[in-house]
Amino acid sequence: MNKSFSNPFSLSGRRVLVTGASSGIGRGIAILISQLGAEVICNGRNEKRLEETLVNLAGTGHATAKFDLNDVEAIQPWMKEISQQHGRLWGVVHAAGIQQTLPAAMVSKEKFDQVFTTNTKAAFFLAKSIFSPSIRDERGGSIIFISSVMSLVSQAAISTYSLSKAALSGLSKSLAVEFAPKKIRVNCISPAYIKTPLLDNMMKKWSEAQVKELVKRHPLGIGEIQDVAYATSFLLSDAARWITGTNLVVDGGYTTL
Amino acid sequence: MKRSEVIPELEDLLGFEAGTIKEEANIADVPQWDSMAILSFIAFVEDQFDLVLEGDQIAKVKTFKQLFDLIGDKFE
Repeated sequence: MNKSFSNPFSLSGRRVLVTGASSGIGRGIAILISQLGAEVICNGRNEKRLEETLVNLAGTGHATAKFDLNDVEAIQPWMKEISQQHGRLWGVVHAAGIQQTLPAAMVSKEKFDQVFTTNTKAAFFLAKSIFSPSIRDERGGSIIFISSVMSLVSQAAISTYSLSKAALSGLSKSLAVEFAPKKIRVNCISPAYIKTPLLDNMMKKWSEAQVKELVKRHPLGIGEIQDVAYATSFLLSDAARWITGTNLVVDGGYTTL
Repeated sequence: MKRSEVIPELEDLLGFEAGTIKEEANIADVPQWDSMAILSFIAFVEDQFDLVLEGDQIAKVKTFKQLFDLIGDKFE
């Protein structure tokens, strides 16, 4: 028996830029996709924490790329530099994000822009840049925006966060159509609450009763970072080659209640 | 910001009538002080005093005086 088998879930030979790779979901994604064969370019703002991610990656060909995504106009030149230095990019996963719990009355233009720039504007410019003929992989590619269930449902005092994530859904649909001729797919993943340092930080502002209530809102319990990483690796791979413009909800049942 | 400036500033931010909040008053006696007001207060303290208050700290206090005491030595 010598049946050849090419694993459709493998990411070997794929170079993927992961934003927010210095912690939480971004770091978890970087680690998992490296184990599946991807060469990972880890972006964040803190070099030391990026190095901590880097040492946890499997395989070779990985690098750190410190850069502040708020400088949206500099994203394309920066990605061009990455592709010249390391090779063309198959994928980008935008996992960098800001959560903001703030009653509408407290939202200033500055607070609004903080969230919108990192979560949404940067997502657009990352996608625009990877589509550039000098940066994209000629075989095709996959762009993934880490959104949130708060793009579908919501709650009080997270208006800026909800809108910044909901906007990604419209963005991914239009780009999905525009980029399809080059076999570049564009999708969102919408997790519910995931155990991350960001969540721990948020929960500090909550009472014990509120935390209990939150756990109850997830039929399968609060998610793990790996749960988002598994979905991401699938959408990056050829196993998802016919999936574009969609929003994959990974929420332990949060939105079914 | 001085301690004496906190009440008028908060009342303005939250759209309360002047005099709604009094230091010695019980928080429970001010119906306008709801969960949104608490979140606003947390954000206000973070902005003005660079201090992150925790939910459990706020849940324990009974009066506005005790609430403002959480800001401690961060007042001007």
